[in-house]
Amino acid sequence: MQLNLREVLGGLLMFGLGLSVFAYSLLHYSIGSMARPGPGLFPAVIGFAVVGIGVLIVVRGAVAPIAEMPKIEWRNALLITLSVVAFGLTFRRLGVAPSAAITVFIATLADRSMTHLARLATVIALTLLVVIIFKFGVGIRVPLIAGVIY
Amino acid sequence: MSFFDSLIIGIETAMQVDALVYCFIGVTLGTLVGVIPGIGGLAAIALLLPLTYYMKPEVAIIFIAGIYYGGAYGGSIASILLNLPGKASAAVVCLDGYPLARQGKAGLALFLTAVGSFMGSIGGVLILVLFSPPLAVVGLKFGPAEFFALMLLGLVAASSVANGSGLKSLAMVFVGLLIGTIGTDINSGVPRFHFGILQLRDSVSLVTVAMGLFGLTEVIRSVNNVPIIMKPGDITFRSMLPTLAEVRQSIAPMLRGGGVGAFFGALPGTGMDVASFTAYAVEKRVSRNPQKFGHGAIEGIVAPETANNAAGQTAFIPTLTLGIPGDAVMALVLGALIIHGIAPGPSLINNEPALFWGLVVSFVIGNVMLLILNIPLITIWVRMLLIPYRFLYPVVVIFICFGTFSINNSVFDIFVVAGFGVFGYVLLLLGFEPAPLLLGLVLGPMLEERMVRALVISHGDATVFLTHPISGALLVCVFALIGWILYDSFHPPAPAEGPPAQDPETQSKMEF
Repeated sequence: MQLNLREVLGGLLMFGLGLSVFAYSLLHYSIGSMARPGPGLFPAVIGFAVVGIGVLIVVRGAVAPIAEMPKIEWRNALLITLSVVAFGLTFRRLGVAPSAAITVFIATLADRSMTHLARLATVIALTLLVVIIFKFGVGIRVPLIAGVIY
Repeated sequence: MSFFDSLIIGIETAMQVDALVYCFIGVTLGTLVGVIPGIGGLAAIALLLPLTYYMKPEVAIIFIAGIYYGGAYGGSIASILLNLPGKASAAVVCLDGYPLARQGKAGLALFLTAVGSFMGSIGGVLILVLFSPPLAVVGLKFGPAEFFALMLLGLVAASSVANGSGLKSLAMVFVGLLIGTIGTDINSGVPRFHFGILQLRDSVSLVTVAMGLFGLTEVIRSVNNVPIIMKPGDITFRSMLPTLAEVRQSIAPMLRGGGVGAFFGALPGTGMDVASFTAYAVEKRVSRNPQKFGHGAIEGIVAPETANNAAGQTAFIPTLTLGIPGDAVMALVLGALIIHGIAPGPSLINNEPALFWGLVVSFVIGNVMLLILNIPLITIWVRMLLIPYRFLYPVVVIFICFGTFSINNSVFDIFVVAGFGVFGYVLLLLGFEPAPLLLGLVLGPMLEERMVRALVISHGDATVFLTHPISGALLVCVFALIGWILYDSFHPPAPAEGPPAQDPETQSKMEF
């Protein structure tokens, strides 16, 4: 039996998500009655529906013709996500300017064609831009450089 | 209140200085976002939404709306000049726009699409004005069961016409509904799915999800993949003006396109993309020599552009009169209304006449601004296309970071947005459309609330949804659509000639 991997994985994801929500709702929240629906009713019903759709998608994956998985941009995903996470970790600890610089730097690493000079220029330019817009314009209550300038 | 009085209120509201300024900024940004491939309008609106918190509600909505319908103008510029659409609804303009440019008629093509866009928008506004008040009157008669059925229909309809698999889009809608349950339940006060994290007791912000799912995911997908732009030539004003024959050729396509667009825009679930593709197909079908399509047929660019602009305006009808968003952007508009403390629904026109009519008048003002921006000032946009994507995407990323933080002054939200960026990318790889998820997220709480209310009023009788005639009829449509989705999933039609085989990047853009 040929398996369309994209469909099967997608269906399994939905199946897993739906089942988790369904089970969690039944275990932790009261379903209530039809006349007095409880907090668990809606999530359980929808979760169950998602399980059903997941099964259908998997079934379709078994019968549908093979399609290619698109190219997975590991580098992009890793670096962009890392840049945002880095922002989250450094924003309050280091301040607006350093965290912006770090974030932009990591984000620009994802592009393969950027020269070192262009990268430096982008980091400086964007750090200045967000400092002006968010620190001086919007007035965000986070230090410019933590411990040094407010 | 008479129509004349409404108009006066609208003009008063829309002519205030801040309304005018933000209308202009909005439509300019919208055009910019529409012009540049790789930057999505949905992400732009999500990013700018927090900025609107400090504006008056009317001004905030005027601003966001400007970005939305402004985007309907700019998308075709790259289509014509570079055979690369700025947004999905402009993809079909590549077919005849790019050949026109190669024949040296780029200026003409740009002029006609701008004029067509303007006509489509004005037509759409007229339909909005004509149909909204009566529709709101009908809507006022709706009870919770009717609203539940209507919202469900909107969600299912959106899945059935989405690009790609209807079944997967339906799954996305439901996942959106589930994400909407995170937080404190309105009906019972019980905090749900917070997993001990304090910030999750307050529900996941719509803007955070949108920024992650559309902003970050788009960046992850696009880095290193946006093609290098060749330098397009400068466009002179003289080269833009059409001959009389060309004008005559354009009138009928504009009318047909406008009609198609107005219809699909107003329908919940369909929007600019469907409108422009359908208008193209209609033109080809009614044309006396269909062979000329694909080689520079004027009808092939005018009709889709008129259609997508008309759709962009009539899309506001279900949102403003019934509180049912037609696509993901309308979902954000709805979210913005809620954030400003305005209850969407049939009573909106009566309770907030300044907002509604001010918005309508701002549409006219905004479209006039856009006409000026897109004809004489077109070279600005042409220059914009030269900026390499590698300088644009870090701006998007850092703005998402700061924007997300500023919603709740919370660092936790930044990790949430990163998470949704990854989640969105996984969904994309597996072939799921993210836009229906946003629809489900916005409508989820309201859907549940109406369902619970209907059940409580009927003392637990679930058949109430079917016995009320309107609700019953709508639910029959829901079942029919679900049946159609299922049928379509397991018996796919033979590939027919339709929208051009776009590269995967444009194909999966269901943002506006």
